[in-house]
Amino acid sequence: MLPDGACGVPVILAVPAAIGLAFLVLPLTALLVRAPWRTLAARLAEPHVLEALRLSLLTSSAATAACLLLGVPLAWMLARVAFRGRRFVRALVTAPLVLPPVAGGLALLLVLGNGGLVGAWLEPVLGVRLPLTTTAVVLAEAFVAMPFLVLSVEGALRASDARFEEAAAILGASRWTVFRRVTLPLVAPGIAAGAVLCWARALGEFGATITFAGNLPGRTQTMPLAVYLTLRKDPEAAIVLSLVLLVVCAAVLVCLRDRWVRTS
Amino acid sequence: MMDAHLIVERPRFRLDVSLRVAPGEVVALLGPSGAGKTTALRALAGLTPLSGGHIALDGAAVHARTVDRRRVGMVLQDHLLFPHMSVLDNVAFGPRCLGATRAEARRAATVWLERAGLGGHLRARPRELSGGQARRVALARSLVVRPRVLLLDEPLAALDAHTRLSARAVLRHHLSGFAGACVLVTHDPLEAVALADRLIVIEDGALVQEGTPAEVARHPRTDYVARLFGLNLYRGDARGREVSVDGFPDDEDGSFTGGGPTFSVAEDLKGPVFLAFPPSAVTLYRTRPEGRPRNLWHAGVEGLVRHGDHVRVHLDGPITAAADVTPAAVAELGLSPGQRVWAVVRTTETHAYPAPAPE
Repeated sequence: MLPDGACGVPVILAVPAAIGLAFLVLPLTALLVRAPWRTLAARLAEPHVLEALRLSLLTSSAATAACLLLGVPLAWMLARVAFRGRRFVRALVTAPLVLPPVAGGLALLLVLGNGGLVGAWLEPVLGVRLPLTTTAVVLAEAFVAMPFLVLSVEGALRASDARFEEAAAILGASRWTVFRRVTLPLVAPGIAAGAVLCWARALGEFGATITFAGNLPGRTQTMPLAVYLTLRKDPEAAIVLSLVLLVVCAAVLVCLRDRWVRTS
Repeated sequence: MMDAHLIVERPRFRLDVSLRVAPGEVVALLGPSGAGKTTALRALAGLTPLSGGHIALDGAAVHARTVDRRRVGMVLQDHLLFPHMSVLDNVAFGPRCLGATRAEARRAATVWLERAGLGGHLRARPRELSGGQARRVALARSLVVRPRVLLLDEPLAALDAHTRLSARAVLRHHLSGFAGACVLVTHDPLEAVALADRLIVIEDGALVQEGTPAEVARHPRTDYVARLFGLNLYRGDARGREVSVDGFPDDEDGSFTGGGPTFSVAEDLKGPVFLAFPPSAVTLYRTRPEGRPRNLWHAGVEGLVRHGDHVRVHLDGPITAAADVTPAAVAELGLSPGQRVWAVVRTTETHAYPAPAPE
């Protein structure tokens, strides 16, 4: 064993580690330092701030719900069913992770937009127009955030002991019962951790949202969009908005840490 | 009655074993690791698909049914109690899956758990149980659905020698009340003998020996079985009460080893035979014993291992053999590896029985 303490850490590792930490923490500190603390309360009470915050919380929660509904079964397929082309499917699932969100938003527009592959058919048949609606925000956020959930849940499924599922099947449980009563409870911490990541990613979504859903205050203007647009005319207001985002994220992480994230 | 012919083919491995187990009968599958015991058990449960053969329960073919419709019970070495459920819900899980209401399932589970002496632990989580309690819960969970076949995978392997003894008695008691067929996998001969009515020995995916524990222990047919029951085993050729063992000098005296005759045995046989004797039947001498003792050979000491209250001496030379002597004898003879000794086997303790002709 190496000795603990500073003497055991080589300088060549300690220095970059310290710089890396500073690089992550300093910008957050700057937000706190430059925040207009005196006018903070008044600025927070401004209707467009509350509007954007409400919209952000609503859409990222809805997006997370959609990701859970679709992503958990997808993760289960990837982890438990040996089908041809599984590796390829997994690569496809991670695509939104590496794709620039703006490109993702454009891609969504091409599919679900007014003249898009599916969109052209949506309006005349169902009377649904997606672009410039809150639903479009949810779709854009779900598109970008889903890989976080799928990868996290798939990892949890792979790490969980599949023999519990065999034991349940031997006792007479159908595959659906096994999934519901054994698999899900066993990977619940992994699902929760994935949902938190997914929710945080959705909350911060910018590129795909502004491309696909536009920037209508009260309808599609979420917090990140509000930050960006306020920055030009009123930098202090942008700082306040960023600060709100920071506090919301920190609060969620702290609340969930003890219950879920640590155990996964 | 379970009648099964299990064929499982994998790259570099083929399991091909037939077994019939009567209701109420306990059959132990014995074999070295990698022989295919666990594969056979998983195939019976339906967890591993058959490449060929069949499984019939009371005359009905079940090998095409999925795991959840086979009505088998299985207890694995590490029990696999669902960690997120109480003990009661673990046992009630099976009845629930078979369509019982929650109340019915819990009532049945309570009865079984009380019978297993766990009435005070209904609300406990599996992690709060001792190993022995967890095993009893696992057994109750398997039996509550009244399976027609009960499969046990190394049921007592996780226990230390002391608790194993009492656990074996408890398990034996539970099995004696079980009306279905029971197959247990083990590599511990004591466990097999204590629990099973019949042994089936598998090596390299094939059945090599089958019989009651007493038969198998007395007439081992492979080196593995002989070692398992602590016997020296040789193939040889019998002519009346004489057996010439492969590698054992045939001539009357003075061969390169210092010589000895063929083995004298109690049985009158002809043709290929197995010859077995326990290590305790071997006596060792420093110098060639007086007179003309039978079954004498000149051997080298390969190693010494303490074995309970005696010392097991591994001999090489014309044949490899194990001899059990007292620690006093080791001191008296000054035994140490590499030394040469004379070995004699008492004729009354050798045992010869017919073997299939060598291929």
